[in-house]
Amino acid sequence: MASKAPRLQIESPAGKPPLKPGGGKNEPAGQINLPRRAAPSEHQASSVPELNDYIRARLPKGEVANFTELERALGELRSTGDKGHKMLLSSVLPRLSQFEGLPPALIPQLIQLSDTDDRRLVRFTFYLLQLLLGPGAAGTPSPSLGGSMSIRDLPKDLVSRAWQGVESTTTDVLLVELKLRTLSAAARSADGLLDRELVAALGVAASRAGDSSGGLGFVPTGKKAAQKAQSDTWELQRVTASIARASLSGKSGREAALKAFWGMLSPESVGARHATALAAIAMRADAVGTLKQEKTLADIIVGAAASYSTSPLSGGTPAAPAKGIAALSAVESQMKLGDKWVRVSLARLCAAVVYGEWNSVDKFVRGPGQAFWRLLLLLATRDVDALVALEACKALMGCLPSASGPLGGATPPEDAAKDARMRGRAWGFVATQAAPEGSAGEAASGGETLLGVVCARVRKFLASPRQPVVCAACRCAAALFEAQARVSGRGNVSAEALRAVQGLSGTVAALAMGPSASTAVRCTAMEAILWTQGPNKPPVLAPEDLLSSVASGGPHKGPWSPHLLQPLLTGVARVLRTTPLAAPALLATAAAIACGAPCHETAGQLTDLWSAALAQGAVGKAAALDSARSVLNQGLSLTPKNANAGTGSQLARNRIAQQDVAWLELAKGAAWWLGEYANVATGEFVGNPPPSSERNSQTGQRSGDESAGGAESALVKGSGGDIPAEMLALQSDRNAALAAVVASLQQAFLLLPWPGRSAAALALAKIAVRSDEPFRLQCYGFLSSLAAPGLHGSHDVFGVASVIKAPLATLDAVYSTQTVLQALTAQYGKMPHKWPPSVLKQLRDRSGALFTRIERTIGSMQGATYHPLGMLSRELLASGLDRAAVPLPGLQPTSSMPSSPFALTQTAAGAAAASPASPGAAPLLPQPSAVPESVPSTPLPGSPSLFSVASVDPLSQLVKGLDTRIQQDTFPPRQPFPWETSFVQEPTEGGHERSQSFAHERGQSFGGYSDMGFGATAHSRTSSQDNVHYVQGRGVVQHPFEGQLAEELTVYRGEEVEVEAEVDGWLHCISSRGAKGLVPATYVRMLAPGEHAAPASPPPRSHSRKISYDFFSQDDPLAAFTKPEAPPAWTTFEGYDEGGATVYDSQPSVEVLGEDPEEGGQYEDDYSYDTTGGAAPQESDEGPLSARREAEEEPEYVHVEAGDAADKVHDDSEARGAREEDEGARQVTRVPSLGNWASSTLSDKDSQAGVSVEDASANGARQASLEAAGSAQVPHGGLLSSIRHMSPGSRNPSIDGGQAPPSPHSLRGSRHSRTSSFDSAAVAGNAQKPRVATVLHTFEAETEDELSVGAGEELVVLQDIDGWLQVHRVGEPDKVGFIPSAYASAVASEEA
Amino acid sequence: MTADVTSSPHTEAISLTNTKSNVIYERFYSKFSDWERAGIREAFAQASDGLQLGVAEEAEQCSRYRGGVVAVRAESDLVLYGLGTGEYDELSLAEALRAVTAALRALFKRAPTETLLLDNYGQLCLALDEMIQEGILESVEAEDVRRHIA
Repeated sequence: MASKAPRLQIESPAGKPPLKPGGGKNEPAGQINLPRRAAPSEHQASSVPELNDYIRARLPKGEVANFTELERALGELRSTGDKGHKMLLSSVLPRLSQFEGLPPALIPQLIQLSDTDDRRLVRFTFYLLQLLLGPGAAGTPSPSLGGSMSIRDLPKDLVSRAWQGVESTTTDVLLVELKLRTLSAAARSADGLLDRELVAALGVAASRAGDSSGGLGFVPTGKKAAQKAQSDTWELQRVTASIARASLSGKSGREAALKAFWGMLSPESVGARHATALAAIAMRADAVGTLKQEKTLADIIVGAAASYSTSPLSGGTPAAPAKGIAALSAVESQMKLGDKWVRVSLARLCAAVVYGEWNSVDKFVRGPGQAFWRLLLLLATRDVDALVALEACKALMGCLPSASGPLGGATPPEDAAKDARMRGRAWGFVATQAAPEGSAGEAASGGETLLGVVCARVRKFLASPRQPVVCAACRCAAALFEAQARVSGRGNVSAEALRAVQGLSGTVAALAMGPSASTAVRCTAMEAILWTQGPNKPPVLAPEDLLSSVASGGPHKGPWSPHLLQPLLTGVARVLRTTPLAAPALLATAAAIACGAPCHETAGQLTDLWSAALAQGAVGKAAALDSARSVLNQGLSLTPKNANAGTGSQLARNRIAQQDVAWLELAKGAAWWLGEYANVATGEFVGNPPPSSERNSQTGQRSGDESAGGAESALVKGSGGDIPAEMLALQSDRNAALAAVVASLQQAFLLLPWPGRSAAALALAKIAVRSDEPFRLQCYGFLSSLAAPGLHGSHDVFGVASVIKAPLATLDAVYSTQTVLQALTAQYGKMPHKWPPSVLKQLRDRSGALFTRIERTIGSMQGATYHPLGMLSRELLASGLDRAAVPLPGLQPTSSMPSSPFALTQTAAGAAAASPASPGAAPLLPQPSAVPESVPSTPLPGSPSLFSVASVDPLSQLVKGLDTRIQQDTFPPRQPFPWETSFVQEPTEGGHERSQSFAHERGQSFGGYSDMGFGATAHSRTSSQDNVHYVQGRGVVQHPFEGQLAEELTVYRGEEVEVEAEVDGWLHCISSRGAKGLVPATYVRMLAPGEHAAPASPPPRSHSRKISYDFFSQDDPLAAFTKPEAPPAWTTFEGYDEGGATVYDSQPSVEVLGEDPEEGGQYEDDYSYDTTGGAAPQESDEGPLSARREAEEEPEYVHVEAGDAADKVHDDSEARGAREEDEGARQVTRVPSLGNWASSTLSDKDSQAGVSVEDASANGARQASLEAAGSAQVPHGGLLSSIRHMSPGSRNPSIDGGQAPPSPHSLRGSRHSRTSSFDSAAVAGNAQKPRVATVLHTFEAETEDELSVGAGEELVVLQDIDGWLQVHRVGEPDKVGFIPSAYASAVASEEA
Repeated sequence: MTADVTSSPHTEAISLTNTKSNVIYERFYSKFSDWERAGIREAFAQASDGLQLGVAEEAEQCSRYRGGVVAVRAESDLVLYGLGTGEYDELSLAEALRAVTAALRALFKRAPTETLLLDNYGQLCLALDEMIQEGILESVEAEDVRRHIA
């Protein structure tokens, strides 16, 4: 046949004119000569389909395989009559159909081609049209061309011509069928756009068929014409039913199904099959209503049952007709029961009717549903065909195929619920039935019950040599097991029936674990056996066996394919939803599956399973935690299996490497999940009452005893206050599950590779911020230790510094805020009504900002009620909310407020959370007028942020005394102040008492900082005319500023300007060009008399660079309240790590300091780290951890914020002061001539850093350093010490720039503070007189500037600075060194 | 009213290859990207791993692909694959493939081979189009098929 077919061959040489088909003189019969054409260009080639190599090689010699040629031939041969059509059919169209991707441009040509009388050509044309317009593809593998054309893109005339005839009753049925099918395909790919047309076309076709059939569709006998008409009618009905089944769903699908009942009697088996399937769908949707509507259906089924029972299809055992059944009519004999798919649909139809929403299945079956039940029983217990028998058994157990969704999709929830109900009804009815008549053979092996018969049949099919039959039998068994699992309790099920089911489960289990079965069969068997898993039972499939099977049971002894594992895990999820109490065994099974053959898909499914288990009660939560922990920790044991990675083939090695990656992905997922959900699973919500003893007992935790109960009550009482050690111990005892999670994460951190380590660290951070003590401290301490130096002083040995930096800083801020809260509680008490409203508002604002920061740097706090600041904060934050929310008249920020860069910065810093509805509006930070008690606008320049806070809100009461002292220290009585600012605070709305008068003068030494604190920005430049301060002086622009309003002045960095006045943080300047306007004060550094602006260009590399970093300035909520100013938004950008906002000064300040004689011309890069990330926790427990972290990573931290309040409370501000001295003094040591120049350096640093404001003691010390610097000699050791203690991280901020802020404790006792001590000593001069002290403990010097001393020795103390004593032995004045203060006795009064 | 193509469980794809997995004809009834089609082909090739050719009862195998099932059937020098969802489980697919091969045998009056199908590619396309429409099994009677494509 094939050899005789004409072929399309190319015989003409290239370049010759093409020959018309059939016109060639020497053209052999059946062949056509077509010219060669030039090869398409590269661009064209991309849009031209090609055949793959294999198909090209199989082409007959000389036959055209070029699409362009074929396309041209298609057009040319279309109008050449029968010969051309023959050529098209034999060569062109078949060859075109081999291209899997055809260009849509071919559609119009094909539509034109279909307009012919040649039925074969029409058929082929519509085949191609169906491919082009439909969603699918056909042919041989070839690259896709991309792009698609829908029917709506075609010319309308073409479309109308294409569909013309569908409505006509004279059109050939075949043509109508083809057009309907093509329209159906187009509708499927048009995403519903053509549904209306399709339904209309189907309606026309159905009506035409109905008219022809006379409404019922009995095939008449007699004349040929009538037979032809009836044949056409059935053909149309078959097509419409098929299309409705394939393309319609929802309401239209049900409507089509309702019209299909009479088609069940179609003499054509395919039509009857489709009609029966549609009828089953209609019955499944509404059996009660549909059966009432289709009253003839029962008669049809009665006849079918009678016919079937006497047919060989039912095993050749004729059965007597049921009682009461009338003689069969001619109609009933028309059921095409010989078609196995008809019988399958019939079984589903009967099951849908029997298990409909009847009041009682039993009553229905004994009444009107008798025929349906009888036919279903016959099909299930007696059909000889495996497909029919197994599908009928599944239907018998209420398992009907549902719309399963797309490939890989899930069953719609509503269908799932209906399925569940139907299965439950099925089990309740079937399990109580006796064996039907005529099933003696099955009953002998399966007992006298219906279940016994069914189980025996299924076991028989399980032994089939055909894999598909075994798989189908496993699915049937799964349907049975699932139906059983859906019904709680045994009910009236006989022991015999249960034994039969148990026997079946044993067979399936053996099949699942048997090595002889294929993986597909075992997978299906495992799916089935999962349903037999009950509560309080060990896993039916031992996890270790399962793990081993999955790991090595695949092809070539490899792991199972993910496509086999996914349905298993999906099955676990379904069983879990049905039997939550079996969660431990199910999740253990799931973990074994996922660990046995780790892959990306199963990792995601496993975490979804754990999450799903959380909704299954306490048992589910505990099981999820255990499973996640086992994966995280026990998964490690799988890695040795890959130890032979280097021995196999390249393919094997690749596979093992992929497994390693997948396993790591799995471990990461487990760590992530534990971090995300451990608190929910264990009921640990910070700031809330601890988990109840009931829950703990359910989850297997130790609790419920009196001690735990006492601990809880004590916790409730003591939250927010001091927690004794006993309390901590009891707390850890009350939530052992969370303690176990933390331990697992810590273990995983130490053992996993880096990605897993990072995930574990982040998980610990999440638990820390969401948990109460001691879990928070446990996690915090662990994370802090990670940043500590290694044994040999190596930094960041775990490589997670960049990961934990931001979370640690946030935790520091949480701790410091807690400390402030404790202090305030001590002042105001625990009753919220005793707190000043403004203080509460401040607290709320801080808490909100802290929440924002936590969510940015650690994780979401949504989904549960967390109160990171403790239980007390919950009441405080909730109290007075309404009162605080009422805007005070005239105190709200106005929309006319200029949108200065500061406003933007502040918005980012902390107001975003407070004013989500108006992101572009002025920030809703504590407004000076809105917080009457506060001292607004002007935070203390250069002062620690806490005291800035104290000065802007009533928190100042907390630190009042210290505030005064620090102000005095920080701002000596007289400095060359360029301007002066005064604020008078107004009374509160309720007359709330404190009206503070606050005035300070601002020194140029802190130049650049004007009244541009957050309070200042709340002022309109034009609304504060009273705050105009006239300034006569010059300044240098620190940052380029582009004026956006008429009154603003555009200036450039390094430009010198004349400053005339200052208005609320804006300077009225005259540029060098003579232009006048306003410039933000922080953009300008005032110059001292006689000083000139330093060149703006960067210095050579050999010069010292000082780059200020302001990490966390954006995301520190507390900074929003304390920061005197923030860098302009346009000079900053968000940082690099997760959620951690890092603000880089895009214009690093450059100081040309000149050569340092002490360093032989070698200058160090001095990067100043400045963070407002909040102060460290105040509890002494964290001190050493924080100290180590800072000592190694953050040598240049400068603290701000509320943690300074804790300094006061805990009296450790000295250490911070020493740090700041270190900072200041180190700069001083490099400056030969200081004085104002040094001051400007510092002020420049401050301005660059944005928030280089330290605590007052620090500034005091620094100020003292500056004052003394001019006369002090710089000891050699001090400089060395300064260099030596500068960590690499500080030298390379681009790599390790943003670090977690240190805690105040980190400074306590830290060796590096000695540096500042030394420098302070240098600058402090002879402020102290030498005294004599006795060494209490032997001290071994570790560095050059230290001094080894023995206990009992007498020393001469030269300096006592920050916990270090500069001493020398008595009589050895040349050997000067440092020892810790604690190592020496109290300084003796005796002078040396 | 909606026509939800994703809600009708049906045969997603069929494929006819030679024993070396060279595709002779394949048809996808749903919309798949190039990547997805390649994945399905790979799943088909893996599903036929270890397929016993020439042994009637062992010439069928099953596998899984995503949420669907794969059935494989060997017939002379051809291997037929089917990917189904919903009611088209392993046995339904296997029966459908068996019916298709029987219909092809009846249509061509001899056992279908690679050469035979390549030489009669047009008929093969139309015959399969008649037997499986939009993923649903239609008529597999050779006479019916011949009547529709003739």
